[in-house]
Amino acid sequence: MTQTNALDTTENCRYCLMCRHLCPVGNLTHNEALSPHGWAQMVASERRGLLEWNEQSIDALYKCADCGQCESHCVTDQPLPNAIAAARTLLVENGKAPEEVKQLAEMLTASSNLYNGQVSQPPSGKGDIALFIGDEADHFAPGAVEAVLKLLKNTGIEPVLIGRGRNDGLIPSGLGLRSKSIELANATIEDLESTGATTLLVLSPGAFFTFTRIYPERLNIELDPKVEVVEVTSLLADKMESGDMSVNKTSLTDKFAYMDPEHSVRVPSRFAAPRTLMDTAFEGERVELFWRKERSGSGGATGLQFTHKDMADDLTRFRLAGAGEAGVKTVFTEDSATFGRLNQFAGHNGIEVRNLYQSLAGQL
Amino acid sequence: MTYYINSELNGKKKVQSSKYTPDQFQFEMIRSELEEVVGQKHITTEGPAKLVYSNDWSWMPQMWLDRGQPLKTPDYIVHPGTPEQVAAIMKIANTYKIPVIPWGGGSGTQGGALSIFGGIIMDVKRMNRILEIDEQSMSVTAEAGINGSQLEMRLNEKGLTLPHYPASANCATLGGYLAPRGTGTISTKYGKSEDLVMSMEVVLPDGSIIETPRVPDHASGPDYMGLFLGSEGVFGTITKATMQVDYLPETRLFRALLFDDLTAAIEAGRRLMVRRLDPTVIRLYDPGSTASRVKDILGYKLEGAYMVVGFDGDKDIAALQEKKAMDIFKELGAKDLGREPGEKWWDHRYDFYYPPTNLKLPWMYGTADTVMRYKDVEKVYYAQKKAVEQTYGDWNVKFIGHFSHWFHWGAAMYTRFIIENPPEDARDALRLHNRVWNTAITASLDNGGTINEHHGIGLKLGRYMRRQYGEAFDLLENIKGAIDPNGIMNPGKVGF
Ligand SMILES: Cc1cc2nc3c(=O)[nH]c(=O)nc-3n(C[C@H](O)[C@H](O)[C@H](O)COP(=O)(O)OP(=O)(O)OC[C@H]3O[C@@H](n4cnc5c(N)ncnc54)[C@H](O)[C@@H]3O)c2cc1C
Ligand code: SF4
Ligand code: SF4
Repeated sequence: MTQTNALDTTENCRYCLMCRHLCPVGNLTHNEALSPHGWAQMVASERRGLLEWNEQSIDALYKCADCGQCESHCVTDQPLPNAIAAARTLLVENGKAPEEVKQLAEMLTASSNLYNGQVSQPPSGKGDIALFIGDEADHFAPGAVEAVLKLLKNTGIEPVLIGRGRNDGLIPSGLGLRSKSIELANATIEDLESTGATTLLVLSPGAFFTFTRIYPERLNIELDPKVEVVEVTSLLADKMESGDMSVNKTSLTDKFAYMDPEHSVRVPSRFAAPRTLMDTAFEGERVELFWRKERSGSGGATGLQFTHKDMADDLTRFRLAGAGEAGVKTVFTEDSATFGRLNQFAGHNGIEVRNLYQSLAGQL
Repeated sequence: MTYYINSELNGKKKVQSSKYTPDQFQFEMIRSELEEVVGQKHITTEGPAKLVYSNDWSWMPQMWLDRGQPLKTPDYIVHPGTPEQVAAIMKIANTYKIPVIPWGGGSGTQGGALSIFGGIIMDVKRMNRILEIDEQSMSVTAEAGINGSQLEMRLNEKGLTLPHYPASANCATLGGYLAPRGTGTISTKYGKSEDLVMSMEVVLPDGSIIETPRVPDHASGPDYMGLFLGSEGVFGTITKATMQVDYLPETRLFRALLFDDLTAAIEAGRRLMVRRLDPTVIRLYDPGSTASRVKDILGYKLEGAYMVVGFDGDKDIAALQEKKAMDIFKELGAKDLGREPGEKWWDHRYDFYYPPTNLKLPWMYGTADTVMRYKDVEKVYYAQKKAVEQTYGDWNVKFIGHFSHWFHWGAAMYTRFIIENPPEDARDALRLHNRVWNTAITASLDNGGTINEHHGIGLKLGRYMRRQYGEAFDLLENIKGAIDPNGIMNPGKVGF
């Protein structure tokens, strides 16, 4: 998709209000300008000469979380997040990006990692199955990767690790750092090709969405069609169901819930798998949260962490508050970034947040 | 900016370079006071937000912006969190005599939420809590800023529903349902928003907070709650409402029928209603809509008048009601198209209003919905159609419509005019638009219709209020003068 095509989406969205009820930022701020049609109207108005990109408007444009709710609920599949990303890309190209975004660009130039400035590790070898690790797992959930490897090993899979420490490109592409994202994607594809793998395992719906949709739609990059992208949760759920894997069931006394991680809504086919894992591994009163599945929303594990930390934190608190309202004492999630952020604020609500991969691995 | 003062010598003397204009002083004073009430986080005066709040979903401001023309923007956008904060904002507005415009979802189609004189947009969406779901009395009490779909999702979790299903539920608020007396897809059975409301809390223009009695039906004096239904913010801000709820029905049955002509179809709808068969929905498309909208959206190429009829509730009762309705349809020569096209309509009922099948700029369009007694239904429909088609033939105007909501005594008509090649100049386009409205509303009023049925009056239709009410409008004006002596509540709307 070209930048101009993406921007044209805003012509449809500027006066459409049909997904706004699920926009987490709109719900948080109650501000029309910070909702899908608000951002679309800004972009469309700039193109008509009614708004100029200045500090205030650029700041407002960067308040969209790139969470995907709008597109997933769009009445006509308008790729609004891509349009917002395209508008941001133009700002970056014109040197108008917010300071935080410029700093991230520098960090990615130096390290390919958004969090700790380290350089990514080379592929761990060759094999049919590769596992993309990225830069979030080790940062947000130390030990989670090892837990995943233990679980996979239990099913007879020993994947080649790729991209450990390298960002997948989703957050940078949403922030308008398109050329950086392309560099990241190309490096990952090179790694993948060097392994010879035809299955690419990923740890989160965000990564799944990146490889299957962000690459072609925002970056004009296609994965080799022979490569199948599979979320680890889906694979494990299949193995559990087919009896190829089992865990010791643990009993929980208080109410508990699974929390759909960041970007889940962009991969609706994934809703069942983690719930299968939950029901196989835990007994007790598992409840469904109000903000679940197709309306799960953002927990702040997006570019907002870097550009508008307060808002990202509020989004995380909002999701925890939802769990609190449901009387839940323990929340499970597998995506490292979602887990890490929830965990950071969980104490305030008296809620324990557990990493699903680590919990399952502990029950093998 | 640089300011000059007259010097003792001739000409001007530069005294200083300044960051702010003189008006900024007063602006900042008021802003500080508003901030004290709602907190800094809940007020915005920034350009992008002002732009977005300068237009609601009505055609006029959207067209204006679409043609690259700027609109008058609000000065402040505030997000109060409690009725007390709303009251405090009203006190400030009265002190400085600045307009206050309640804003729900901004999905109104009549320009009711436009800040045509600047002032304060009071966005009520922060007041969005559900306060009580009373399953015994079958009611829900919620703050007025709650989003319609979010409220519905919460009720659905308990097997309940608020049976007000406007196509705008995703974007409208509870207060916005009530302020313009909205109607939903299933209002024929369950009533309009005004029939579903039991009580309300309102902050009056002077800042007093009042509550109406807990029950809507009583004989304890006049029903002043009715004053706020249809007031579109000119009499105060609705901050809370208790609404009747229903159980989600055990079944919903839909069927589609085709009539050769509109007369028989309207008579069929009338008979269903006067026999009190309690249909959930009777949606009757005129031949123009059948040939265009039904074809484009549902994919059926038909000639005649397409009708969808629905019944819901307990399976056996709904089935019996449907059977009795089918007898009436048969008597009147309708062709039964079966269930599938009825169900498809239900599934796609909102697509009529969403992109890409909705009406879009740069087209000119308007929905001149009105309501009348059965004896006037055809008269109003044909009078509007003839007047609009004949007067604007040169513009190749299209006139289509459907009959959307049915009562024991009459029906509501949802007619639309569409001009695909309107003037490019914004001012010319606005003039033509207002002329078409004149024609359509005059035809309605002259033949037994009202100015509007469910979208309200707003800015667009205020000029017809006196025409519809005659001397009675003095009464409304006196009430307005008494409760809003400074005229600050949503000025320029609903004819005030
Ligand atoms: C796609 C689409 C479909 C629609 N379909 C329908 C439909 O099926 N049925 C229908 O009835 N309408 C429909 N509408 C019109 C509109 O959505 C409704 O009138 C809606 O109820 C307005 O709610 P809102 O919260 O968006 O109000 P707004 O647009 O924010 O305000 C409308 C008016 O009410 C006033 N107001 C808002 N909140 C308050 C409050 N708390 N107290 C006092 N005054 C207030 C405003 O000042 C303004 O005058 C549709 C609109 C769209 C965009
Ligand atoms: S991507 Fe998320 S935050 Fe951005 S407009 Fe869409 S729903 Fe709102
Ligand atoms: S993404 Fe779709 S539903 Fe949302 S504003 Fe755009 S067109 Fe409307």
